[in-house]
Amino acid sequence: MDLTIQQGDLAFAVGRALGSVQQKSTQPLLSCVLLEADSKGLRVTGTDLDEGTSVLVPCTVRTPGKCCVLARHFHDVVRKMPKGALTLAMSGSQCEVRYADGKGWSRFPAQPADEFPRVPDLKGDMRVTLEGEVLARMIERSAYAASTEPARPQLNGVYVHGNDKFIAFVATDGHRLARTSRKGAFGELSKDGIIVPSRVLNSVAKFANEATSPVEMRIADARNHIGFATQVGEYQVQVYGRLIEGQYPNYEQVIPKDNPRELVMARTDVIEAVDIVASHADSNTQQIRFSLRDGKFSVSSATADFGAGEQSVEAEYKGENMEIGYNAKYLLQILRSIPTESVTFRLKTALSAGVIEPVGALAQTDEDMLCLIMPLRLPDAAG
Amino acid sequence: MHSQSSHSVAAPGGAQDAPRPSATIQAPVTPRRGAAIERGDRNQNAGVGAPGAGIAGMAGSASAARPQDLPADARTSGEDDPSGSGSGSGGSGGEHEPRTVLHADIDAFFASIEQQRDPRLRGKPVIVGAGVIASCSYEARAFGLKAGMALSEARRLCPDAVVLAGHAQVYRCFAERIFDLCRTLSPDVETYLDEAYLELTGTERVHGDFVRAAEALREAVARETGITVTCGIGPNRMLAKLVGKTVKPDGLARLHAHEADAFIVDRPIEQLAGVGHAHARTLRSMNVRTIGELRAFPSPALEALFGAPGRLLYERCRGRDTAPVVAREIPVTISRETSFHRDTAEPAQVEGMLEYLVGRACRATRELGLTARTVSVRLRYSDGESAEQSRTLRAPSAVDPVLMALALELLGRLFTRRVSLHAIGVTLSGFVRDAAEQGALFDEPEAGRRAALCAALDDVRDSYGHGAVVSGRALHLADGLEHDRYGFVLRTSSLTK
Repeated sequence: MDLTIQQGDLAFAVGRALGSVQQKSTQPLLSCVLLEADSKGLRVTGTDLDEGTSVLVPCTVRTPGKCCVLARHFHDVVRKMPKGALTLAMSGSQCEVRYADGKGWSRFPAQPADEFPRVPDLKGDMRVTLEGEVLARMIERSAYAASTEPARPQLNGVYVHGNDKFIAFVATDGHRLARTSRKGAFGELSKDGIIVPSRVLNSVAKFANEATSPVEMRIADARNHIGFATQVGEYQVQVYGRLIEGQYPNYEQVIPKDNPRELVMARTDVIEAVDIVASHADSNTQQIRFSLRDGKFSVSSATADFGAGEQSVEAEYKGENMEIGYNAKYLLQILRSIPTESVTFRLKTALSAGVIEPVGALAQTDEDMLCLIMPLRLPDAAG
Repeated sequence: MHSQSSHSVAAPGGAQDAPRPSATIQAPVTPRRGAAIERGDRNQNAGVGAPGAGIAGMAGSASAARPQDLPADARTSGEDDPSGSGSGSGGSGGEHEPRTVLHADIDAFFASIEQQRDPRLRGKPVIVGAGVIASCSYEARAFGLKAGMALSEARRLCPDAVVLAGHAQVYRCFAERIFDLCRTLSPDVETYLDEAYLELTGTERVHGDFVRAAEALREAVARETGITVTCGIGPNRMLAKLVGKTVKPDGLARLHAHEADAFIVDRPIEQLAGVGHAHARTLRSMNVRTIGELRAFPSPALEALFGAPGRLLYERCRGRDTAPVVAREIPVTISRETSFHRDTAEPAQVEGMLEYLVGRACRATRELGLTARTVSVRLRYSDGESAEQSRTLRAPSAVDPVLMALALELLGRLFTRRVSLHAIGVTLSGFVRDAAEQGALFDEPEAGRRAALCAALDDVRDSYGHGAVVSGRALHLADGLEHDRYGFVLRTSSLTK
């Protein structure tokens, strides 16, 4: 391997690939990034087997070849190297980098690349294309609600499904649910839908925002792998991951259709009230209380350890008096994901799922979003 | 000791109060009254109203002798405690009154209950325990037996002793009844397995003479449960317990603040709270035999010797203890553990026992209106090695199936050696009170039903005893274990801490 590459290009590629490398790994090779030089340029790949990132950057390759170097260490050093062209070459079992000004060099212990896990080949599979910023936005509006508990692995991902009218991203941990959809023809997804690990999507979101071409989702025919490919300027970035197997719960049947009590509030007001009141809540349960009175709405919480607090919020409310408990963290995540000025809570009882929706159209009129939150069963709350 | 120095503060305070109406009569009591109000609503009844005045008068006369002690107290505190009243414990209200703490200790707890349950055992040496003595009657102690001694050793010293395995649930009922009686004396009662601390500060007007109140408590306990309790009254927790020890069993003693120094100085070092076997050995090797001799060490030296607790020893050997009496409504842990009658590696036996113990711990948790977040399982192999692991739930729970699933998972991960088990235990911790149950989008009906099932089981067990309902897995135990209405008779048992 012998090539010349701009320091900025190399730093970008290694930095992105590092995002998929886990700090501690049982396999030493998984702490490394793979450097592959061929006629297309230099490809830098990092993976932990469940997820991988591969970046192809332009460079002048004199001799093709490949090697593995310790990901974090290589990244830390490359970042500090002087701007300008760097020369990468193998020198014995070491990867040598010479700086542009000729004043210095670094050598990294390299490991043979043959054992490095292969990137799944996703050519000729099902393809769906989304604009980068659309994809980033849909991830941002859904992925936070996914579960991180190992008990129900299907919930550790975002359920992506669609038909010839829309595509929808859905995530839930069983306590709250976020769904966002976009109009368009996505008939390829009509069969079942797929569960994409939220980790993979979070990596995708990082580059989707800066993508200069639409992001192409490639789903393996066996429905076991997914890849996201796009162009960031001159760089070709690809994130791929293993799909979560199993049946996603039938979420549509838990979305309440007839919640008669409607509460409309300024979003920032509720966020402010919930945030301050939650400082008195138990740090684990985050339990706060909504008190709905005719024409008056307040948020409160009380614990033995942290005292108590209450804040009233201006709200339009139609319905009977009601006390309802919520996990403040869930509420804040939902409220912060909604872009509009006002939000609507549509409620039925203190024990049933509540719907939180934006009021008015979103800035992107062909998009839609909906959130569900299950209450905390307060001791005094009536069904 | 802050209580003594507070006298010097209180005296001028009383003088300032003099122009107030009725201050001429109440002068010695006035500062105390202020304190009573400061301590909160619960003492207001004592401070106001016509009947209260009578009691106040009594309290005044009872403490009439005390102001004469003032100068002496003030002087000792002046030399002894330069920090003055600043050492007050978290504003527990001791600024204007000497602190008074009562320590109630149930004499030979397990053994005396067994003697109470079976009159044939009275007057005989009785041992409760399996493997080692958990508790033994005073008759047995005369033979040199004490808690912690191996049963084989005990049988050698006292061949006539009656050895019983014990009935943990029964003991708990007795203890709860006794603690309830304690709560009639003071709102602040900190309870342990067989002892309780009562904060009496601020209740002078209610009780008048504390010695008489303690005597009444002892009588009430004896009348209602037949058990004797030893009471020590002192100016802080440590001294109350220490003075109680001198009159065990069935005794009552009071130590005033000004007597504390003479009382404590010549006591053997082992009696100081916080000095166990290891520390006592260290100190004896340094020729420190009495509590008074420990005073020669400066605080940093004790800290270097014993770590952070060294600072506490520095205070305690001077008779100072500012730890408040805190009614712990929420226990730190609830654990249930037992050794098997015969060591076993049989999954049915192990899992059955685990389920039984989890069930008991869950019920105890629900009885307290709590939910637990952390489950920990502990194993002891027959070769003495042990293993322990814990896991935390995201949403706290007190229903058997949820905690049992976690416990089983932990057991699977822990029980890896091909060695039979000697003992198994489960500990719940991370308790939350009034935790509202997080509703679930997908398995809601089941969650509701599980809670309802637990509530129904609790009802049955409240009426007919825990043993009335046995879970499927635990049924395997029925072949090998004795079984009564309180449940299976386990080899060893433990209670809520």
